[in-house]
Amino acid sequence: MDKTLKKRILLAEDERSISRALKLKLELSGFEVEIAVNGEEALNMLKAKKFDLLLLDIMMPKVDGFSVMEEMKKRKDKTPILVLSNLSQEDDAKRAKSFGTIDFCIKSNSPLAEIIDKIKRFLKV
Amino acid sequence: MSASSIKYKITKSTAWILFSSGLITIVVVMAVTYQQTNSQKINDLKSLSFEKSDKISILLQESSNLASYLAAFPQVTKWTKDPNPKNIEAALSFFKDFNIKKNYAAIYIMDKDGSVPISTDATFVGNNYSFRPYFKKAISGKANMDVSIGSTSLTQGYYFAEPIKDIDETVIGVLVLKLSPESVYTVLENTPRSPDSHIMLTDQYGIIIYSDLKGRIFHSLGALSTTTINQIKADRKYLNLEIKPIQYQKAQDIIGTTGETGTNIYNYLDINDRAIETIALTPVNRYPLYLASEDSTWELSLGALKLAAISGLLILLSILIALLSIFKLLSRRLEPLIEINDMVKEVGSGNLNIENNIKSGDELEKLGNFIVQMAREVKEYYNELEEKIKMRTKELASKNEYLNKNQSAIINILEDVESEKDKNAKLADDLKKFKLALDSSSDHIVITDSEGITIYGNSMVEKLTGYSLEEALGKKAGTLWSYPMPTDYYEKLWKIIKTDRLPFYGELKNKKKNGEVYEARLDISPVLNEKGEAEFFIGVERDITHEKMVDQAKTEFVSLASHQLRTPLSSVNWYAEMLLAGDGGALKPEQKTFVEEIYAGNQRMVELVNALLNVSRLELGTFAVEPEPTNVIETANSVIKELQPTILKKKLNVNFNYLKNIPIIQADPKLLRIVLQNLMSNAVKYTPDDGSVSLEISKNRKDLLITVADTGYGIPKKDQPQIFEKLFRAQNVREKDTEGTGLGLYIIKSIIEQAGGIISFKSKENKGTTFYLSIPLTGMRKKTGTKKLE
Repeated sequence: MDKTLKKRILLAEDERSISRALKLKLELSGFEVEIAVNGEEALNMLKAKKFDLLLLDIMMPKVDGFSVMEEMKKRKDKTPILVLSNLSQEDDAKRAKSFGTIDFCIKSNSPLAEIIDKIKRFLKV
Repeated sequence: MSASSIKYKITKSTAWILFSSGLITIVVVMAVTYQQTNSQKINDLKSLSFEKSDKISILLQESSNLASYLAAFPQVTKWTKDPNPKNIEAALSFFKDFNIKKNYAAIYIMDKDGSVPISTDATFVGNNYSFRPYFKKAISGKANMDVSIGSTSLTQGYYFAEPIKDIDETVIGVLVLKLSPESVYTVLENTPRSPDSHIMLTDQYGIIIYSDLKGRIFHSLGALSTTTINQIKADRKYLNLEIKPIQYQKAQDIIGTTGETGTNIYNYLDINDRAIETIALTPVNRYPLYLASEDSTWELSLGALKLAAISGLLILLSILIALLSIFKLLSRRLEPLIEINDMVKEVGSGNLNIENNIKSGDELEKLGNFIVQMAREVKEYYNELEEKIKMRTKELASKNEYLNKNQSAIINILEDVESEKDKNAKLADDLKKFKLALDSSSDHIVITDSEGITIYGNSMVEKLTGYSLEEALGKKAGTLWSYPMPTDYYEKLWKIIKTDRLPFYGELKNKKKNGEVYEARLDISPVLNEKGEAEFFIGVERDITHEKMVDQAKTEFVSLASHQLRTPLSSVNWYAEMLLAGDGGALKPEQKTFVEEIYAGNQRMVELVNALLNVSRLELGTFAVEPEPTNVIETANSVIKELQPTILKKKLNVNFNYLKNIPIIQADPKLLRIVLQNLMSNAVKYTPDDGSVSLEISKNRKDLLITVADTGYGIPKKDQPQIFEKLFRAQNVREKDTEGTGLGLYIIKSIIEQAGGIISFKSKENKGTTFYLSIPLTGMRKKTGTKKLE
């Protein structure tokens, strides 16, 4: 696949082992992946570049996932968001949904293959 | 007589109306008549003035033409040049022929110096009239006419002067026709006209030269200017006559101003500004004369007045006739009213037996009938009333007797009460002890009457709420320390305790007297009397603010802990998954088995964390039950499908038995799924290979029934009482199988009981176990909460 045609994904995740596994698997599936280690970095990167998808963790240092969505809403940044979190409180899922996210996946309950499938389906790859 | 007074009133008002309208009519008639006769008269005046001036103009035109004709004769020129006796004779005979009617007092020729050589009136001959304006004008070439009194004849004359020209057009003399005034007078006299109207003819200065009122002749219409007077004197127009003015100054002022054509009308007013005379002034063609006709306006209005007076009289007469007839008519019509008056008087004085004598056939007769009927009804009512009074008096008498009897009975009872006093003292002592017991309770206790009004509160009430007992007593319980709750909270509370007469358990927020808000658990129980009605309510309240805070902390800890646990679990999961997928290169079969073990073990850990989370949520009581229309059979099928790999692996025989027409019920689909999933996976897990598992869904009148049976290891009798306890696992399965958390049944039971259902089981070791689940057909009980189960 031509590199310029690759779909670009921003992965906001503070846990290195998680981000590494996801990046590896996504790149194998033909996506271009960039990593932000916290919400602040994610927001800066979103400002600098256009991404086709944002994979967003909720509990992150400095700026958490909700604050990122809050700021994106203010900026009218329409980048699609898929939340990947280990929080499973109904409140959190509802709150994320209110920002118009694609889905709210609980990492420990979701096999990696299932998440990749979901992304592929959404990006129509 | 009252009727006659009405009669007079009506007549009087009618008279007023008639008189005033009559008066208005008279005034209008007068004004219109006046206007009409006046304008008629003015028109008459105008046409008279115009007609006469026209006639005079024609007459004068004749003379003017004749003068012009004569002057143009060549002989006249010759005679003028040479007035020798022969010529004079010829001229006079010639002129005579033109004066057959004797209209002209004289026809004469003047030489260019103004002397008269030839004249039909011999007295003129030799005289010089060069001072005459008519001569002056004619000698300068202009034919003209003038009125004046002859200086020789001393009579009035109308002089027509015409220049006599030589062949070379030079003026050598003047030919004059002197028209005697009588021919003019003939035109003006004998004019049919109203007796008060007069006709006048004036010269160019406004000096009257003819009038039917002889006294006005040689007077001016109004005062003349000095210049005019001097001019007249210089011209010797009227010799030495002194010209005095009469009263028509306005007409005088207009005379002599150039450009006046047509007839002008002038009104002359008296000191009271009443029009007294009207004058019409018309110039006589191009001649220096004016014709004036006048009439008295006062006479005109007199005519109008007469007409108005006659019509006024007629109107007055008809008014009088009308009034008379109204008066008569009223007398007849009001007769029944007097009759009614008498009838009412009769009734008023107490005579209720009256008759109606009015036969007028109109409303008055009806009124009469009505009064008679009324009188009758009053009579009947009166009789009835008397009857009732008699009856009541009797009743009172018997009641009085009854009361007397009762009084003695009450006295007896009071005597009995006296003897009960001792018993009451003992009761009071018991109550005191009871009160002490209540006061020492650590809970806040309130007793209210059936309407919720506080009648008792223990000492904790004041300690907890800050409100004294005095403040609380007599008020609706809880209102002092109430904190805004959802609107239906208290409605529901009242429905349960008052209508359903059941105890109420709940949690709520209250506000202390110092404003501090606290959370409380509230139990209210109705105390029923023999009839089963709620007579009192006992409310027990406990401050659980501290407990709530602990709960909150616990929730936050669980949330954090689960997140922290789940992150490494996800890592292990995903990397194991990648290894198995060959992302790290192909694995040897042995390696693959090891990684599969890691993956399965990790998976169990994930499930354990989820189960722990559920337990914590169940224990906190903060999980939600959100019922929605749910198809139980679909849920069951999806659970079985998920277990299919294990079922196949263990070669289990699975039986389904679903009753037809299982309804869709209100259930939380997620919770229902957790329950079925746990029961079915337990059955599959704890049944040895080749065994059977069955699922039956049916219903009775009230409940939906789910039965899960297996031919598995069963639960040992001694373990059965503890089987729903948290983390408990039966001895036999612990030995056979390492999997299982000991949380599944605990979770199921919690869910089912929260949702209003029942769970039970039957089991025999090594034979199998059957779980019975029942959920009300009305659905799961809704429960609000912040958490959902995994």
